Amino acid sequence: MLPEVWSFIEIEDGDLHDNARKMAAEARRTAKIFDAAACGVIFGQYSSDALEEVKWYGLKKLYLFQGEPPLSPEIIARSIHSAAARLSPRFILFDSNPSGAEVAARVAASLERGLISGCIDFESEDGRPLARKAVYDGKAHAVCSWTTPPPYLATIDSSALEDVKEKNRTEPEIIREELKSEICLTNLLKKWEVSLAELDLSEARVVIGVGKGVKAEFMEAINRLAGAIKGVIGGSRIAVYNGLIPLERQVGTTGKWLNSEVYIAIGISGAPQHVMGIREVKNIIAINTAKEAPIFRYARLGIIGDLYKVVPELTGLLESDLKGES
Amino acid sequence: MSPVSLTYWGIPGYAIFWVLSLIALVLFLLRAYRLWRYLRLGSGWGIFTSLPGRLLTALFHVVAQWCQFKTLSRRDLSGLGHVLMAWGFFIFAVYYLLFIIIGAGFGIPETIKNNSFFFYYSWVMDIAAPLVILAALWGIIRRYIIRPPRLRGELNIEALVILITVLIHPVTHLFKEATSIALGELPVGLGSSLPVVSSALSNLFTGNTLSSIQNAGIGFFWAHWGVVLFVLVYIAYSRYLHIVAAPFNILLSPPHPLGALKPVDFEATEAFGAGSVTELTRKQLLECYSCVICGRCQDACPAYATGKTLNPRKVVQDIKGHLLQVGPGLLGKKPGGPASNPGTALAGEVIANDEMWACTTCGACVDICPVCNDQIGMITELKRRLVYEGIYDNGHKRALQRVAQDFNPWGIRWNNRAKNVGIDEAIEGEEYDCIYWLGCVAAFDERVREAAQATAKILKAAGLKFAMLGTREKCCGDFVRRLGDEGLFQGLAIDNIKMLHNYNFDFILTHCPHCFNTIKNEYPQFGGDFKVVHHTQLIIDLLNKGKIRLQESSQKSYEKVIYHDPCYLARYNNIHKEPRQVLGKIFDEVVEFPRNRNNSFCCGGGGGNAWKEQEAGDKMSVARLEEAMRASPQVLATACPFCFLMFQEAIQIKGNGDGINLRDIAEIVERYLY
Amino acid sequence: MRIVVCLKLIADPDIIEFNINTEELDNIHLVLDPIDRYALEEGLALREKWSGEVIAVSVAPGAGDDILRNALLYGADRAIRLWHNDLQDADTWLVSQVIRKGLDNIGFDLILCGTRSGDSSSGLMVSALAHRLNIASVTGIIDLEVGSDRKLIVHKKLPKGERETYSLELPAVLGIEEGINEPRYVAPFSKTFREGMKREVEFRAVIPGGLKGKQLTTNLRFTQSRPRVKTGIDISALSMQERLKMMRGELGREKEELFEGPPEEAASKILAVLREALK
Repeated sequence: MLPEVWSFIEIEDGDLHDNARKMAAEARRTAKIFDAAACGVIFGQYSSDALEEVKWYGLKKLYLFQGEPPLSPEIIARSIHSAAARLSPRFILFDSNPSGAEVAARVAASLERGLISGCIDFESEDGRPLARKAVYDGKAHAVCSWTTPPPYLATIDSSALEDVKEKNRTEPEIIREELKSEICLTNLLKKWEVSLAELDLSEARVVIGVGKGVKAEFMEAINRLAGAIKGVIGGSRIAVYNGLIPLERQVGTTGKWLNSEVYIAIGISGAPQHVMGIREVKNIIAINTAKEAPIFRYARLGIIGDLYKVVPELTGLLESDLKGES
Repeated sequence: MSPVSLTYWGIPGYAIFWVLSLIALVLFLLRAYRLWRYLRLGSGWGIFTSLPGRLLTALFHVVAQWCQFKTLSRRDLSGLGHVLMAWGFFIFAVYYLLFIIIGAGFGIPETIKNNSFFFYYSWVMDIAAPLVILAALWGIIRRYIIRPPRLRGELNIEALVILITVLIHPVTHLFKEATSIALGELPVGLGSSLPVVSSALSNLFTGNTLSSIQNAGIGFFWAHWGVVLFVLVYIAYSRYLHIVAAPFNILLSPPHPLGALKPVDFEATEAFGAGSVTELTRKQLLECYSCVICGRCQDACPAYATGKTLNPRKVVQDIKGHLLQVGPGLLGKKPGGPASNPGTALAGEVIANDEMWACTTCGACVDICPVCNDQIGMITELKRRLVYEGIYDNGHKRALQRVAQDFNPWGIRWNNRAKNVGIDEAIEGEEYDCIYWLGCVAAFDERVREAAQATAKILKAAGLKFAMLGTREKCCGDFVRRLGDEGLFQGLAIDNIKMLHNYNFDFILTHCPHCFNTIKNEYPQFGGDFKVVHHTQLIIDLLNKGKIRLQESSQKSYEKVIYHDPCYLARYNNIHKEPRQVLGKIFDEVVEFPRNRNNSFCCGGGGGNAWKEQEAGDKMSVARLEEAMRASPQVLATACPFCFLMFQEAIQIKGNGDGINLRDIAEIVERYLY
Repeated sequence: MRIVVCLKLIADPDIIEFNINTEELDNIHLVLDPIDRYALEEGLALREKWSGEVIAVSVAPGAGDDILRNALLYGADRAIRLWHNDLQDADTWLVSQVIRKGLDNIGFDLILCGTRSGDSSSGLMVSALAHRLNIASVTGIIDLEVGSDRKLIVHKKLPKGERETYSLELPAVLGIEEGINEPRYVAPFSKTFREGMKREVEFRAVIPGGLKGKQLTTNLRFTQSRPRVKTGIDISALSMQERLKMMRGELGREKEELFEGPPEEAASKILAVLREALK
């Protein structure tokens, strides 16, 4: 019997979570490296659509732990522990997001097995498995090995994950496992979302920045855009001074430093003190009428135009987009 | 015949005169002694420097009334009124001593008065009295009718009483002399004519009976002397106290109050800063006594002008009021004892935190104070106590945390200091002409870095051997000290000095006036004696020596430039000629702000204010920019990176509509280098 | 309430560099793990609210005295350093055993750690401690409330603005997330600082034989950072420039574009970028 690579595949509202597909692909990839069988571990209530999707990832088995959400990391970890202790998989892989990381740590502790976190890749050396991971914020990589017998536990760094589908669908063997939800030390009460109005700038995926070029009367339109894109509104010091945004929403040297996916700079010239706060943003889009505005130096997409026209256009497109999708 | 020698209702005039005078004197002395005891509640006098020199300064301030002349400006000539009143006071004081106390009091008026000295002195009095009356009237009109801002909050009875006493005594004196002349009693001296004003007034009494004129004269005399005695007592109960306190205050003030704050000895002091009046020095309490609530500091304060709660005059008066309030209770305990006064939270209760934190330490209040008070010294002591207690404005706290961790207030890791500046780093063992001290702004800000690079080009052109310190340079600690975090400041200073001692150089060139001031005036407190030069000083020196040349001088720039004096350069260190000389060589037209040189209006960046959380009122930088724009210049020239940052922001707030260009002087010069 | 705060001494991640030539880590400046500042602040804040004691603990060689002394100056009541030379390359699992033994004679109500360290980022410590002590634990905590009956309500931070709320009972060990609070500043020679100066760091030698646990993982070597080669990319087809870009993680990053045109077109372009960025 082939050794198994288990991959923790997260479900959200019945569907595959963002990284779940990538974790499934990771199971397959890891299995190939170590001549093993890729298996998925799924908890909770999953839809038939989710099950169908999973078939594209070449998994041999699917361990299904059915249960009523919310399922706390403690319950999940105990359940995995119980199944792993019985079935002895070779590898158990987790996402390195907060949920996956905690489950992985709990399982590692209870099984007393080594856990290597933030793995970028795996390799084999002299027959033993090695993991390569980032250390010191990515300044270097460390090559590590497990000094305990299997299962080898690992969390995978999100930068390494990739959604790779197989050419053909595979029907995995579905094995129902028991949920170990007896008396727990922690009680997951609820899962919720921070409202956009209260969400801290540093947590938002999309931040809209308003600057000197935005008049107070236009803030309603900006708010509408923020709603359409599910973004949070921040801005430059001038925006705070002009009363467009409160002090906590200031982005810059003396304000918040963003690391969001997207920053849309509207009417912002790009003074150094403001740019300081958006250095880590992955995609900067800037709208400004002045060609020479410094902000364009940092933007992936720079629009030289009238924000009062562009913003409503964009909002319109987004809103119809949303309507189209749902 | 002297009114004192008469008898009233059976009581000899002498008795009345002396009893009243002595009562007044005793009342005055009792109160003065109490005030003295309150003063002694302060902790020590401190060290006084250059006392002989200060004696001359004090005399100059008091006798020649330099205290007023130094505050005169085109917009505020009211000091002249005080000059008249003060000189009048001196003249009258001599008169009282000689001709009333000695002459009348001892019953020898004729002896004293029967000579030409008295005659000439009567003339002097005759000129002085009307001038004092004019000054008093001017004072009353100003305070109660014109009501300028700095006097507006002070419509209290005390001011009115004082002005009225100032008005009354020359009036009563003149009328008394008028009655003497009318009675023919004024000794005619040596054939000369009688004093004009009194003579003119004496005409009012023609047609009256002799006895009625006599009675009038007696009445005026006693009224006059009564007012004088009242004033004597009132000196101890009002702002008149400055007559006694201010001369000593000026005597004991340092020659240059702006520049170096007094260090804290952490081994000797457990709790630093001042939490109660017993933790201020006696000199500082004397300053409270010397304050006449003139409000010039209020007028000069940029925080007050832009709507913040800080008012330097109020700070001084609040401390004085607090001293008078808690003094009696404290006298029960040992004066000058340790900080054991619960409930007397000077910092936080008497003076609100916001007031202290709004201070940019620009020094305008200290510079203009007629009696040489050091308001910044007092405010700093209060700020120090807040730091001791762990109370901070959020913005200030973050800036301090960042300096503590990464030696700069921006929160950028220390290993990025001076990255991309492109200047060679100093090597131990090499001999340098100068070490270029970048300072935290030039070392980290992209835009200001260009000014530093321009300076480097100038240094290269001049053939100077120079280097920078790279990541070894730490924040000079200026704003840290101004915020009251003396411990962190001393740590930085000691580290920087130790580091600097590893290198061989002639002088330190600073880009920033704050670094300039701290390294030059404060680092010596910790063993760091270096020659420090600001970049504008160096540039004019190089130009004058011909080490650098500018492009064809006949082709001066047609742009109109306005120069903003940084507080720490102009007020703190008296450097205002050099930047103007530099600009004058390049520009045809160098325009001045209405408030320039020592009267410069703060950009709002000093004292840690650049990082303060947004607060009430307008921005100082915007107010100053508006002042600049009224002159319609094309270029706004600065010599300070903080002024640069503040103006950069102000321009963004105001809008670039006027197309004003903000430039550091180094950049301007570099552009015109031959 | 007795609160134990675990502090980790690490090489400053912002300053450290990997030397490609020597294959070693250079510029090692030992500092307190930045995330632990939040843990310490949380402990001090809890003590202020509920009165009690804050004990800072660190498994570290001599240099660890600095961070522990700083903890005292910031207001911790006690600071304890645990060490033995054999612990030089200890992994998180082994260190958790050291801490567990170190807490033997110290009763506690709550242990606070950073959720993940700034160097190895294993995220294991909290769960390891919880397992060894058999107490409740949650990691990634962004908010924390203590009920009066030894019950805690904690909010765990998930990506994209999501939260999970847990309830648990003391004793517990919690993994603190960055941003849970704003660490205080204690000025040199201020009141708190002075009180801290009166306290000393305690040292407890760890007896190696007494460590039942062992390493579960080991570091073999350090290498240069190399992002994973994504499946869809055929390396041999890449130019030298593109290979270098891939190494730096820049491949696939769109070129910067500056657009000037009608608003509708501008909006479409923005939408395209948004779609790509947020997929």
